[in-house]
Amino acid sequence: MKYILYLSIIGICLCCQSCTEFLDEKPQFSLGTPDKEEDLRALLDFESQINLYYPGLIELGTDDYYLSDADFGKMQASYQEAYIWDKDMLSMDVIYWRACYNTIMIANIVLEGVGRLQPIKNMDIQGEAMFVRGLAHFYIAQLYCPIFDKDADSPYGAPIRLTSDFNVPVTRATVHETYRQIIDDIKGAIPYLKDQPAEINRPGKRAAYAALARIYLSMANYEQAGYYANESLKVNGDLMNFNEIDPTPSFPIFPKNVEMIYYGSTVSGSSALHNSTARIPKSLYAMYNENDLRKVVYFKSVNATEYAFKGYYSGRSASYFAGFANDELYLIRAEYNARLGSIEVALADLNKLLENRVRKESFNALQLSDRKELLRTILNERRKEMLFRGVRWSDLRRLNREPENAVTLMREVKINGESRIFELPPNDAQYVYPIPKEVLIQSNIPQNPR
Amino acid sequence: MNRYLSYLLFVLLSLSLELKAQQKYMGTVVDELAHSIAGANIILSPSRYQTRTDGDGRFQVTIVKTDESISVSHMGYNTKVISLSELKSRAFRIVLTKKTNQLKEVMIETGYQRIPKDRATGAFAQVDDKIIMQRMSSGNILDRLEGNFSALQMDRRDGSNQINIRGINTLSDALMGPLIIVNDLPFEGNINSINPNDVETVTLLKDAAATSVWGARAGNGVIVIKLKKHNRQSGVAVDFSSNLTLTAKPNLMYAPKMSSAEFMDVEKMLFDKGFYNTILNGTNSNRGIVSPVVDGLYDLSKGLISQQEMDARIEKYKTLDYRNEMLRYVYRRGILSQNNIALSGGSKNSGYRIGAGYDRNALSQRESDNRRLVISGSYQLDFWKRFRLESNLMYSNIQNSYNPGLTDYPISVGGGRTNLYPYAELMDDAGNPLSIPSQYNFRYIEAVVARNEGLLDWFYRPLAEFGKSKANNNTNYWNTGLKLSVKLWNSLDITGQYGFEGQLGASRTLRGQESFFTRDLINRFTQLDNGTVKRIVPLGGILNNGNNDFTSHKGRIQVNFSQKWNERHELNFFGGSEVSARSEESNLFTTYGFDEKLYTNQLIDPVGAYPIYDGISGLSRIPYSNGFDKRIRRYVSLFGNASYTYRGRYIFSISGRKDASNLFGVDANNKWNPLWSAGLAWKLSDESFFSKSSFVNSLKLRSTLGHSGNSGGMTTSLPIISYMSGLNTDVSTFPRAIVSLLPNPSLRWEDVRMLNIALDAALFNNRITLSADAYFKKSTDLFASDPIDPTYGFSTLRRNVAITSGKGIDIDLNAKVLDGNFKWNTRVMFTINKDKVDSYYGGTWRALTFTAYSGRNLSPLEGKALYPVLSYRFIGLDPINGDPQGYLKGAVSKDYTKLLADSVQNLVYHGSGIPPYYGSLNQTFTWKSWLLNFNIAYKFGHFFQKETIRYLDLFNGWRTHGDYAKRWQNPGDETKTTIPSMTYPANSSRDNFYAYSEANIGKGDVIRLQDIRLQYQCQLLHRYQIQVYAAANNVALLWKANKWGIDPDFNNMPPPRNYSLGVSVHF
Repeated sequence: MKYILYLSIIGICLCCQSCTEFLDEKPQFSLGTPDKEEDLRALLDFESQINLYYPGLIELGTDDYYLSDADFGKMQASYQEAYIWDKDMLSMDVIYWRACYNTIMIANIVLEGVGRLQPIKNMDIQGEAMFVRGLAHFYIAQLYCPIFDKDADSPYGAPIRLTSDFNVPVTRATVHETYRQIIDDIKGAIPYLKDQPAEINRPGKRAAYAALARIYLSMANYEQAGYYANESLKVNGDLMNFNEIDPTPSFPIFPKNVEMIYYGSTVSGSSALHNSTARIPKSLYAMYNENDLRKVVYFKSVNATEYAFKGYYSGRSASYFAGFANDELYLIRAEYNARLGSIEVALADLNKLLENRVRKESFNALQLSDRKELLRTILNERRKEMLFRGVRWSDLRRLNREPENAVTLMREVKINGESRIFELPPNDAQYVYPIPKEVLIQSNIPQNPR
Repeated sequence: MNRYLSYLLFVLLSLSLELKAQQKYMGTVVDELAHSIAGANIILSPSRYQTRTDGDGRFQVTIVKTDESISVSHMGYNTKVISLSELKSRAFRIVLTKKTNQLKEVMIETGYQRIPKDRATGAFAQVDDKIIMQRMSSGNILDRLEGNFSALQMDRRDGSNQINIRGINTLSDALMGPLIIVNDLPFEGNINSINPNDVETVTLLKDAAATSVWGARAGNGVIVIKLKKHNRQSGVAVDFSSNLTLTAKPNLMYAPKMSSAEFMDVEKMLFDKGFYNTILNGTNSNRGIVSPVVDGLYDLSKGLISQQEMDARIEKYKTLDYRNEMLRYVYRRGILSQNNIALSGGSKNSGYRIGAGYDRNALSQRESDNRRLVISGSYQLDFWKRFRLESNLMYSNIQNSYNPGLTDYPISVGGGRTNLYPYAELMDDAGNPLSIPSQYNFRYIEAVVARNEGLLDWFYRPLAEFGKSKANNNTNYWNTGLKLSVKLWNSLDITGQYGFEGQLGASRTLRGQESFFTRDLINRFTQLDNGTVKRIVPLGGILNNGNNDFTSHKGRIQVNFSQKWNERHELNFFGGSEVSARSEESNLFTTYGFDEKLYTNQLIDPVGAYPIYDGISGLSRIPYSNGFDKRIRRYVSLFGNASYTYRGRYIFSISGRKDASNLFGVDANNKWNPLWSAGLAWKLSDESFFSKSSFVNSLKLRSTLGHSGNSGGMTTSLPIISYMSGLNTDVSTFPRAIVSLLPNPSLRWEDVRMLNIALDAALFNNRITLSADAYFKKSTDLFASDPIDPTYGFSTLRRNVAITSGKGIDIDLNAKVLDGNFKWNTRVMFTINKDKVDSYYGGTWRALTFTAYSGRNLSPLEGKALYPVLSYRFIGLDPINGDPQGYLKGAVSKDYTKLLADSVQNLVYHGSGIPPYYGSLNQTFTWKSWLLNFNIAYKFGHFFQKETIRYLDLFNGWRTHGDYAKRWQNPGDETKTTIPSMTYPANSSRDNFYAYSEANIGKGDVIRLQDIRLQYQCQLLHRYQIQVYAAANNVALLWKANKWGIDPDFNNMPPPRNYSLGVSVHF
């Protein structure tokens, strides 16, 4: 009896010794904790959440598309509300907010991993994560925060998340703090980023320059925007010549093209924005002259009188192309120089772009001497070049503050058989979307003023 | 030196004893049929010497005093006391007579021990093979349990069979099922691998005292399945049975749908309003799907066909309903045949049983067949007096085959259409399959086919898919076990047990080149260049092969101790340790261009992105779903159980268990999760003050308190990432991973605490037996996918968020109402079970989470049932236009978006989605050789949400509902109907508000006649016992509380009635 007792005690002790190891086996092989540099790399290469997360909401309220009455009738309430700039937007979908913060969370996990796993061989992952985090905060700022005003701060900035820890409460930063963080992240990324990454899904130094150009432009800081556009174009300023593009495929522009700096695309919001639904406003289509090749490369006719967009740089059906390409940088640099008064320099950039967009045989370099007219032309070219690129909403917010460039948007929709007209006046409160209920329910952050 | 001395002393002592008139007596204990009785208790008095009979019923005693008497007792037999003076010889035989008119002593199987029900403190319920074999219509053992246990309920509302024992103790669907034990060890295979004919008993462990010994996976109860072993009789017994079950075709007409005429009225209205203009007038509307009527109306508007032609078509369509063709061509009568044979036999020291069963099930969808072969064997050997070896082996092969190209009703045609227009024609009068649109505009496909550019036929003909594709799942499963017991002393034995389970599952899906799936994919990837046809996806079939294998090893060492002292004290103890490891591996491969005749394939480029024919989609990669997965689950456990009985009537028991598992990231120290229970029982009827002559034959009170648990969830201080395979839309091919969980080091295992108070009684000369249990339970630290601020990156997080409590009563009453030539036996089962959420400390859900599909989701809401049924308050229809009206901030409102977003507190709470009262009445009538049995099941007190018409889904998705006919059409209708008027354009919030309003909540109460069985039994040639039986299952819904004629137990259509016929022979 005693022996058995002893034996079982010894047995149990042995068991406990070995069972620590026995129980350390991973329950699922594809699962793990990020404890190798490769794991962090793999998190940043997950394109669905790093390159394809962009919020469709940023295009839903723009004047670059319209819906037929029948299509409007088929839409879910959240799309309809965004389309008519509804004041309360009670059906506002949380997906746009969540997608951005999901990407921010991944970036934070990578950054925390880099801190934990030092030394790291390839520090470009640090740079990429900072870049991704900054850019995602920028989209939040464009949708849910008032525009940057260098003379007046606002308490309605974005919640800045610099940690993946959900015990750190969510609070809103000011608008100045938000932009400072965005710029710090992307500028801070530059030293780590590669000059030429292995694939277009990874950001390099040029992507950071292009992002900064776009961000400063949205802040109406034209000098910095121009500076960073130039930084990128200095390295590579190639443009696709539309004369060499076959316009017949359903998506004539392929993603691996010479203008591509950084790949990004999204299908978020595609119920309205997909080119089977979204129509090009007639006034916009009329801006292209007969010899503009974008007329055939960018558009397809839907029926006798209506057109849809097909010129996505992602080469596939999308809500919009969200990455960076050289054409945008030429336009930013041109706008900066035009505002500065460097007319010749601005014209050179504009003509360089147009040379690659207009039929070879009919291209005539533009000659303008009036600064205002030149700026108007550049802004028009920007609209014509950059539709379905996720920038129109920011442009509207920015340009509406200049009385000569301000526009009132209008939609005509048939609801219950009666025609109704909706308007979005310049600088309206509707240019800032309400924060989704799902967020307000859980964290007591203030809603945007409606 | 010391040792020698003590040895010498011992020898001397024994010698001195030997000198004192010592006499050996050899006895054999047998029953009235002269079968030996093993394990009978032999007690000498007054010397108090104890022993037991061996496997042959023999025992030996050495008697010193001559005035001793021998008491022989065994469960189920009358105890016999003989004084030595009565014995004529020193080798003698004692015949024990069976206790008559006494309850058959039931031995409860807990998986760790067999204990007499008399001695149990916990809540156990057990049924034997007679009851299991009564319901033949399913080969799944679990399907046969419903209606045979109180407390057990099958929840079939979402199409699956979810077993609940005493309600719900968790908030996670994945943790909800009970733990299933087969051959004393947790079962990991497919439950279909068990042949019900091999099952001897099924035991339900309901309370904490019963389940706590099973530890961290037993929080939802335990089902112990004991497989048949040998019988000890010498000779060979043969059991043979065969039966056939016929199942009617599914009742497609059950769900109310719109008629073809009504559907066409809606289409005409939509056409006139311009709803289809985008598709019809567009030049690139290749994906927009419209019906033939809309195409016809378009042609009419363009003058391409005459009004007469259109009218003639509509007249014809009015007579069509494609459900008729589905019933005629896609479905058939299901036939299940089950055949079994078993041999068993044994000798004094050994016994065996070999069984084989072969089932064939032709399912109601054509080309769907299931086959099952189960071979099982068990062997037991007693040797060297103290050793017992038990082994068992089970092998099963399950083959399921079906045609993946066939679709069930309703046919979804893609492009957002979840159904097909009701007047679709699938077969012409000459018997040729007809084509319907699928994924593309029909006229577009017609035009493409007419161009004849070298593409494959691109029409989809649902009834031409027969024989074009085939899927097979082939599962081989082994279960072997070895158990060795050694009796160290009379009262102590040690058992070592090893169990192995292994499964090789292979699935193979071949979609032939003729199938629409393959033709479509080949065409999409076809490139046409000046008359040359380039196929990126090669001609030939598409073959998917997958494997899903697992192996599982389990070992257990257990010490059993059982001792009685002078008839007053009895101690039973067992304890031990258990280790289990399971490893599961699966993979999947895709092969293109498969040629079934040559067994060759073609290579493809899975990386490059290719344009799709005619720009139907953007650049795409060829779908290539290769993948691998490997999972490992390990457990180490320590367990113990002790029970002490005083004077045979006061019983005290305790049990405890600690579990540890390799669940991700848990620190070794926190992996151990202790669970315990304690119980008391009092056999009141054995007290001296209890008058035996009264109508109460036995009465026992028992009570237990204890904990059981649910493991699950990963606790880690670092985030969990999961590596993924690439998508065909990606631009790069780097390894990639997602963040699947945020770190949550504070996660704890779920704990279920239960108090059980019960009474067992036998009354009126044992003609009525009653077992009634009342319980109170509290589940703490329940996990749920809890809403968090999406700003953290996720919308939900698995957290411990709730405390739920439950209480209930299980009553099981057995009465022999008539006990003569004509016997009437009635079994009444009644269960009350009420669960509610006591506290919920997670995030806040939106109202829509509770009202959409209300009562079918485990959505915790404080103070409410676990499946709460909630709805929006409904104030009738607007008399002016038939709009549904709700109530918002104290006023009647039609602001549907605001109504949908109203606070959860303003919703109407109806009750639980699962019944709080349920049970069955089982009646058995026996007259001579005839037996008639029927079972009535009932469920009361729950609520359900019915479906209704949703106009947006009707317009966009062709999803129809019969409520359309009852909609508001003219002022005044609001007094007759609650169904809103049809509006154009449709408003999804209006649809949702009405669908989720209280107008669509009904009472779930039902009474159904579950099954009837008629049996005739006879004996042929004094040897062959023959049973012939006929049965019907799912017989009829006798009564329902809702006025819509809906069977709320089932999501879509209730299972059709089936009839069985069978014969069994025993000799």
